[in-house]
Amino acid sequence: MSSPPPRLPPGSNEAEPGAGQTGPPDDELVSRTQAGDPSAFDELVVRHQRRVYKVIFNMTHNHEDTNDLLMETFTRAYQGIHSYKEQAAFYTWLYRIAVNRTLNFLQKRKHDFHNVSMDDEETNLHERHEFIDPSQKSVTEQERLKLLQKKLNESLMKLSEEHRAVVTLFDIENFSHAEIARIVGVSEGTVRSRLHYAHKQLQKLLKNFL
Amino acid sequence: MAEENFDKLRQLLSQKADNMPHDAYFDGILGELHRRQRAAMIPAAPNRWRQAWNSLVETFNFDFALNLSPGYRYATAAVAACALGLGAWGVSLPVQTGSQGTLASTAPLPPATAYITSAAPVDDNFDVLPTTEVTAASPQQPHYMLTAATPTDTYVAF
Repeated sequence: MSSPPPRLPPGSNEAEPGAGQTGPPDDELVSRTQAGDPSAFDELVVRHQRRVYKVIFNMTHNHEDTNDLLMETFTRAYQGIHSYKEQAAFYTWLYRIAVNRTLNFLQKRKHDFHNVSMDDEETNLHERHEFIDPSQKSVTEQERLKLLQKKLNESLMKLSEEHRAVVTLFDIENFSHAEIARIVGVSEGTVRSRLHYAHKQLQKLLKNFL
Repeated sequence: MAEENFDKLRQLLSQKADNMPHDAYFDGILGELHRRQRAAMIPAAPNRWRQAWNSLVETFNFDFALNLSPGYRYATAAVAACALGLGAWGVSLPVQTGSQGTLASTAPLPPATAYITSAAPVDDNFDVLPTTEVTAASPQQPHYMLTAATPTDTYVAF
């Protein structure tokens, strides 16, 4: 397995979502939206929808929930566009809405999930027993990778919502510590601490497969 | 943190960045967003209770009730609820129509004469006597029995 992709420096233009796309910068589109031009916001939606989707999906692992949260994120952003200040980048502000909405949703779902029936628990248990061990030599490499991804998803879901958010933003979306700190609304030290703890937990959960 | 090497883990995590839905899904996001925004702008239809209340107000000119203070409104509502409850209770009571009423199923009471086990001769002139003197063995003794008595008054013709 090759080494992970190099981390881009904080504030790097390449790390910025939507970088490389043609058209006016985000701030100009925000100003036009604030001035009453809804088509400018449409352009912002098209520009950021994929990455916002990925962030939400990697926290929920459910397409339907992701779709709803994505719509909610853009709706909230449009409603609150006048409160946006240009002190931070627009995408930081947008991702902050997405992460907060998703965290709230996951907290609520966790509360509801405690009321799961015993039947569901037993079904899940059977599914776990049927899970094939990816470390077995008999399975092909493609199957092994597929199962490894499945095991990784399961392990990610065992992390707390806050730790999962940090891992998603850092390891999957390539945000810097400083950007994550602004998005999640905690200090950089907290981000590093959460990231280290999450990596350790994942390493432990996947020790037989890595 | 040097003892931990998370390279393999991070490599595995970075592969998740490629997991994306088809382009068709993203092509439809803007349209779906506009549709939801339009739906949010349409005011919600009033519920049935509100509609029923509005029709009541229009039909019976209940405007006075809306102008009452909250305390009086609750009192009015309580009185109305009591009236409705009493009305419902009255409707649920059994209605006797001839011998086919609800109570018709119960056993009919025996006629009054059934309580008299030994009939006494009745004369024009009678007194009330204690029943024990008349029917000692009666299972259901009435409080009194009518029986013939010897005239006690003597009328003298002048």
